[in-house]
Amino acid sequence: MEAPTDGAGAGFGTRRDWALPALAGPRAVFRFLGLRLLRAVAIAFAVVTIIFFLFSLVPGDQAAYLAGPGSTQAEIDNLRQSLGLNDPLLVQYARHVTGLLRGDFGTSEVFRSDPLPFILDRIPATLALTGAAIGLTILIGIPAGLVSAMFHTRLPDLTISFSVVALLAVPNFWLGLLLLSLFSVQLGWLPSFGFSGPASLILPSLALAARLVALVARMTRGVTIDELGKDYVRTARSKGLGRTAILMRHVLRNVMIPTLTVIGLQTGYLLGGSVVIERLFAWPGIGDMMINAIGQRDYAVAQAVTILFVVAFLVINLVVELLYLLINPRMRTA
Amino acid sequence: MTFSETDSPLLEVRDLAVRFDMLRRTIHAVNGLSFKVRAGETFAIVGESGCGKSVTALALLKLLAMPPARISRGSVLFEGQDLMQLPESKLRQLRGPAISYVFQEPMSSLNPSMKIGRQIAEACTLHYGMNRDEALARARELMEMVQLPDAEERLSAYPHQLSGGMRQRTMIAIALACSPRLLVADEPTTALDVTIQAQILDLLSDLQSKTGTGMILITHDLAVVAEYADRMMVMYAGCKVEEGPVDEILDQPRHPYTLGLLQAVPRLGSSLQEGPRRSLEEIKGVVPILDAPSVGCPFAPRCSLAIDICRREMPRPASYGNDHHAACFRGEQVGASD
Repeated sequence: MEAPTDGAGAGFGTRRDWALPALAGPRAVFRFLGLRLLRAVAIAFAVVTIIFFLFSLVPGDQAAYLAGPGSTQAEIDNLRQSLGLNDPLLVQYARHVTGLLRGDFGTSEVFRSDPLPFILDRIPATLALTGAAIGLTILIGIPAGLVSAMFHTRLPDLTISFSVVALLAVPNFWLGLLLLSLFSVQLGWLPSFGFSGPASLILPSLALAARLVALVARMTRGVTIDELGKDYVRTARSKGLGRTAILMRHVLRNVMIPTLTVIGLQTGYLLGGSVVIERLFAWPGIGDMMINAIGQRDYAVAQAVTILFVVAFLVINLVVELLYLLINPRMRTA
Repeated sequence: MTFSETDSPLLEVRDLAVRFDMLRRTIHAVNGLSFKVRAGETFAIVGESGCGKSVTALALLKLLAMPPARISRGSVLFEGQDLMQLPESKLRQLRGPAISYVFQEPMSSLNPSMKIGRQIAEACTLHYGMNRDEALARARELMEMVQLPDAEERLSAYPHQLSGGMRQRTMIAIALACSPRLLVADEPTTALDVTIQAQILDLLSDLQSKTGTGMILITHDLAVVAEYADRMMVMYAGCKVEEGPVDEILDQPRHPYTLGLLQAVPRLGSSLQEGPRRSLEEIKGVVPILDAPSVGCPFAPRCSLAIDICRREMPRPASYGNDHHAACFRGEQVGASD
């Protein structure tokens, strides 16, 4: 809820030296971005490591599962040997990391091949879903917050604030179920599963966006109320501007600076939510794929998708920080 | 507007009262204030923090946040027209061309994310219907008028890229954009360095003599009043206690509060080191909480001259000739006991 009060640091990491000072020159901006990139690479490496060892802890014999019921012990042993599961863990880890560096995500036992083409095939569906959810957030969340702030403590504000609390309290899979039973089952207006044209995007993106819409509406409201009380608003009034002109020309930009940052940072969490929502709506994206892979003990796919999520999260954060530089004049060059 | 009444005041405030409705109580911020400002003159409003100076200034064009503020009675006649009776849409047309403001804190009073050229040009687009280029040309002109160096470049600067003095010059340019008939400067130099203060005040009085605009100068600095104002009004607890020509009041104050303010000012030359150490006089006591209109003189509890009647009755302004008034029963005695 806190608006960045001054120049540096707002919306960035907690460590001071990572933050870009206000009035920095282009060199400082490049240095800053270089450091950010280095940090992203370090995080990616750490996550790859953690994921590898976590997957190695998953109970059950992967080879026995993949060989299928009714296979002999010899078949299972052979499979284990060919998968390299008998090697020491550190050797497996080294093989895993060097493979990743070559772009090799291992062999999917379900697809009997490199899983990457299958994963790439499913990315557009996930992008469409998260993109639609972000669109809904911007189109519903921000205007709702602005209206709420303009009618502070009056009926429109109370209505919106109540809806916000309700949306924040409802888990997204349950909301998805409610939407399904109302619009697909009862009314039959919208398709209930799969990816068949734009109409099928509506329900899953609503279910996915709900929490973020509420979060953004609440934040926009708070920041706007804050901004409306500032001295520059009084200056704008003293020039003869009306309420709407003040909101749109003066306040909006100052509200957007922290709000867009939050939307950007929350986009990473949308990816997590999309796993559940894709499952619920049988949405052919990578989240649904990951659940399937886990169910089938297809570790190559599960790991590849997890790494993909992490990389996407890091890239989104980098882009958000770049956008923050663009939108906030105080972060730009003198 | 009203050609026939050239000798009538530019601004006349009559019996103005402003209340703030808080959760459990009402603050009586301004109580029955009356004063006049003539075209072209500088009228100073002086008083402690919280005495209602800024509230009065903002009330003129209803710039207060309402609620909680409420103008409970009185009228504000600007060129003969009562502003308190006008609808918001009419007031908006007057904000800028009729009365404009220079606020105290130039950093927070400017929009941090808007280029200053646009902030200056905005009022011209609004009131004169200028297009973008015309308004920006006007902004450049105004920036030269307030002596902002490198006007062309600064048009696209953001407030954080300017120094405090340059920001206040920008505020002045914004205020002058529509050639106002009355300029209200609400402590325009409080947030600035001492050296910059004089520059800004000189600029204001220079521009005022060039444009012939009237000015209300709100300050708590009596040295500034002596230097720049023609007439002054002293406020205490939302009431006017004394009003008149600056020279006369500073020379012979007729209200004990004005006298107290004057004695609280250190004088250059009266060294603090040499000679008998004479400490500055302070006004004993504190400013009253304004949650009820006072029965007697609001200053009576802190006044050394107060007698019974001061606590029972509100004193009416007594005249001391030449437009000099003081609301005190014992005006004749003020300064006599020294």
